[in-house]
Amino acid sequence: MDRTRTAVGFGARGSHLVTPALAVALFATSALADVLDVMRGELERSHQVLSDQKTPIYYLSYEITEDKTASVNGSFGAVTGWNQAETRGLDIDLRVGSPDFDNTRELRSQRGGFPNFRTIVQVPLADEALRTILWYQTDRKYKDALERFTMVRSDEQVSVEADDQSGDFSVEKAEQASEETAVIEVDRAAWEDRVRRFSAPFSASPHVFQANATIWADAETRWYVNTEGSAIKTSSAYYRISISASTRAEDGMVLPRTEQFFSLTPEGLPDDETVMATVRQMVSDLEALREAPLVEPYTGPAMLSGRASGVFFHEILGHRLEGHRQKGATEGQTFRKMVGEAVLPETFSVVFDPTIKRLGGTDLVGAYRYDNQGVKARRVPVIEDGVLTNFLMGRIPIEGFPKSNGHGRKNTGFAPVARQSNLIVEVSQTKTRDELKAQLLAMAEKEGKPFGLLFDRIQGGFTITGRSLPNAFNVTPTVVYRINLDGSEELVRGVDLIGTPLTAFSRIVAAGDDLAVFNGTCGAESGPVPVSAVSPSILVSQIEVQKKDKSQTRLPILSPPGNPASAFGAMLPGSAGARR
Amino acid sequence: MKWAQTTFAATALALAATPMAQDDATATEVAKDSVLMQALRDELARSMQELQLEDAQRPYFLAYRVFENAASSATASLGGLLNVNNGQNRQLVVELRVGDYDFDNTNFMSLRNASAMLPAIAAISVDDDYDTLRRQIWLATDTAYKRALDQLAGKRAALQNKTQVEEVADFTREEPYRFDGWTESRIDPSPAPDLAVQVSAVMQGMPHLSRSEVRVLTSYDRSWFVNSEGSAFVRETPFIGLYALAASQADDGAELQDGVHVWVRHWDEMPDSTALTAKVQAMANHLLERREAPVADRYSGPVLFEDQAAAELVTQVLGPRLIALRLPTPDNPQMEQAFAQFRNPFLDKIGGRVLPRFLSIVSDPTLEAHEGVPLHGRQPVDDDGVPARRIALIERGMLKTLLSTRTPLAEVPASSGSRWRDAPVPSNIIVQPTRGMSAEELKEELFLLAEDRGLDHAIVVRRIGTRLAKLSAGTFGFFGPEASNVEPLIGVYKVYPDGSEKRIRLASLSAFSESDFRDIVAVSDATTRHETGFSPIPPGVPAASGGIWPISVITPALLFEDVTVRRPPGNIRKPPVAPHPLAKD
Repeated sequence: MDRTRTAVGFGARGSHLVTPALAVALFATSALADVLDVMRGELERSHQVLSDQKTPIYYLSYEITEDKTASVNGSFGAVTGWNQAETRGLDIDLRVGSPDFDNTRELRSQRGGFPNFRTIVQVPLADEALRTILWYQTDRKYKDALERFTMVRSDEQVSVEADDQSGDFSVEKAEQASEETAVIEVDRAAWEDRVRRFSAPFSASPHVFQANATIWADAETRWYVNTEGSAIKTSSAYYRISISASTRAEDGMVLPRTEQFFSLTPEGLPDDETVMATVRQMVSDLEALREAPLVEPYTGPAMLSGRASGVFFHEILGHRLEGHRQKGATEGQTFRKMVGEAVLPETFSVVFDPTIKRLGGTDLVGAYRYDNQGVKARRVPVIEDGVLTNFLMGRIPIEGFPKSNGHGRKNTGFAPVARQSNLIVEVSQTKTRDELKAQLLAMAEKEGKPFGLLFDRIQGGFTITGRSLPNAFNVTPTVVYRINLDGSEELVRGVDLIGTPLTAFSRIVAAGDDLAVFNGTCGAESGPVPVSAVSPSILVSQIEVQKKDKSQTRLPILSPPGNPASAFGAMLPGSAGARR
Repeated sequence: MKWAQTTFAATALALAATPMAQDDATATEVAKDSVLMQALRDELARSMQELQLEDAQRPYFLAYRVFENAASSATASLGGLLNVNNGQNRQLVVELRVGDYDFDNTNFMSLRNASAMLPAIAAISVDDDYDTLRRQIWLATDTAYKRALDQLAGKRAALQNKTQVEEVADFTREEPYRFDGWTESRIDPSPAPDLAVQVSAVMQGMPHLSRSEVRVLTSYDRSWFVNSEGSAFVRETPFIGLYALAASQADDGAELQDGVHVWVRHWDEMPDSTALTAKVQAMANHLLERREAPVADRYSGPVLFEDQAAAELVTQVLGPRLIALRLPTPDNPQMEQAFAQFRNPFLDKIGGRVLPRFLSIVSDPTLEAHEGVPLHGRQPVDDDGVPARRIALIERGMLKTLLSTRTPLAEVPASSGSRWRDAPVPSNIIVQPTRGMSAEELKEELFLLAEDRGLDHAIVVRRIGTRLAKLSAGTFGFFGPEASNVEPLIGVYKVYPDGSEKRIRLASLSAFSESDFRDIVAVSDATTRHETGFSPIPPGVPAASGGIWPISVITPALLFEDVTVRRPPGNIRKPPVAPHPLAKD
């Protein structure tokens, strides 16, 4: 299923051990300096033995991904749990045949099934244990590869000639690198205090039925070796504060608000005052949202905030530029034949740049030095002055694009494919917010629409890139304003932004002079990977909204404990809607 | 070797505070000073008094269960740490019933409104913060009430056009019961990673093992319970489990697995490293022996199950038949048929013979120890707040009753105090012979039966795979029951009248079931104790609960006259292409 999803929340949530008081560096790692050597030793031994077989291997790589995570969760002013974990997953890429034709080739005569079944093999960083597990798992992989190679060969005989005659694997140059092992700083007692503080203001609101604050950190270290001679060790720390809360309108609609702060360093996280200001804003947004009027399905002009726009580009453009989708037999291949053509206004350029770690005052979670196939990260312009020029490439070649550009990514347990990194929308001519708004209202008036829409905060989105279902996208906003013809802005609720990619693209008309960063996790066939999208706000001449899926559950029957007033009656109307 | 040492700040743990256990039903309050208990009681009282949606019925029963868990795990292989995990949480499960004891919102299943069947579960604060806890309990109760009303309406609608074959109540009436086992105790998880690493290092330098893992789990489960009938308890279950698993691949490629486990309640009960090393080494040696043993031929004849094999046979085959699990009434005929095949055949055997006259079985959660060793099925009170008690299940071969919860069946209308999560489970299973043979007499009987069939040898099974833990394709995993009702036989021997024995490998029981137990011809006079895991859920049945419940089984050796042992079905993966990295050329 070629359905991909991006959300603020990250996938696997671990969480925390705990030690009272005192900041301690959790898992202070004295990393085994020779992990790469042990891996290379077993790699070479396997390569030698398996190259002598009747069906020899031509390529083998090992990657170990270690995550040392800690998290603390709070809700309504109290700690609800903590977790601390350490895992080390192994991924093996083993290939028989040749780069032109190998065991990983798509089986075009087969549809359906579960091609991406995930198994995670855990490994230790101890010599004998690591070698034994590498040996055992390599043997399993080799046998799976033989089986699949037989299927691939027969598939090739029963299928029509492939549209794309490119091979299965690109040859890349060997890379060497080694980084110090990152260590996360965890002060559990302090984190507990913070999640209590961050989640407490929601308890003042009787209508908030879910409120969580989480502080999470991950020290991720990767060791990679392959038979081309690459040996790479990279390591980074990630820190995140997430706040999420939901309320329910009288009609049962669940209204969520989520915010998160991301940093590559502990000091990069915001101070309490900044987080608390956001929390207070969320509390008042939630109260206002309950009272906000519903919007009916509508088409017309709209403004997207920088964050909304970033996700919009991620879904409609980014996923469709992922190289392997250009030759997948079930893929929509939207942009495959459009290289060299204008797809956006000529003031717009889009680049994917995993080498940038910080932009617009925010760390970018989609940054990395090497991808998961041993290829060095690099800046990849994909749209230059409105013209499509390139695709995101892992090591699966496509016609006209025989090499990787460092975007072969995956999560542990999945096979890498081309994935996004930091998407950056660069616009040469920008407008102020007032200018964009004026243009929006002019377009609405001209079309006889009573209002335009502004998509401000969003939760995430998803898109379908395959052929068996309509090639649509959905961006799920949490805060939307109706901009009336008189210029007033009114908070509304109940709609998702939907559309089809080429139509949506052709309606982008202008961009603002602001820049916003969306850090999130993108899910697709190679598992959840961290990505960023950086964009100015944009003006779109026509969008479509559809009704949000809505719960039919009523509000709580009893009032909150200790509150004598009824949950129905006690609430002040709130300052519904108006936004300056 | 220490490279990734978790730094646990020195935490002074209030270990082993004296339990203030009491089962005095006249005690006014359980865990009187607990903020959590106070919040549960107060919200329960408010909900019972005030919770009502317009003209809909009010709840007639409400129970709160809080599962408070502080757990850790550490897994290692060959002296290297694979992963560690450590965390703490509290989960609230709300059981709310509308209607009355005879007909309520439970025991019904509709796929048309599947969400109404979901249990109302919430992660609640681990901080003892009264206001926050009240709020979380309030919201979960509200959800439970709405679902209960939905479910009751759906059940009434679905059943209005049907005549019920059996009029069975939905919920039993029980006397209030209180038990206060609240202490401030915890288990220090910090020794777990080092222990896992040390024990796993025992299997270093053994190229006949293709894989091995050692996992150490610690958990301190504290269950809080209060219901609207006046029952309440706090029950604590400390647990430390060590599992050492290994696999070997024979020259023909067949994979052989085995494992040892050690369960204790406190670190000071954990055997020392010499004892653990010996256990693990013995297992590794057995795997080496098995690798070289011939594959089982098909054999039909007398089989003697000794020691652990007898205990596993009782657990895996008889165990699931000893519980009265009521499956919900579905609203569609296909599902009704599907459920019918899960009906426990022993429900129709109550009052009839299921074992030979010389055997009885009791389930006894009150038994503290067997020959000085603490038993793991020990339990003061079940998850319904019903006191756990000794139940005579089979007396002199006749089935008397089955283990049950407060969800009655026509055949078993009362609770036996055996609820764990959503299902009844055994506690300590004790198979009692009234007439047993000495080891020599039993062997003699075995050969006599073999001779009758013209066989020159018989089969003795000493070890059967458990359902506790196995090495999966990727990594360590816990598994529930499989399609076959007995795990592979691990310790199987051809025995000859001259006293010689030959180990065989790759053997499993063919078409063996609970009815075979009636044909046990003889048992030993001596009994042995084994610990194992029990899973109450028949394969394929959707249920909120899963997992493995630790029990102790005390049983004599069991001699069956006619059992078929054969090679398990399925193909075998070829042996590895490259030699083991430690193998000498």
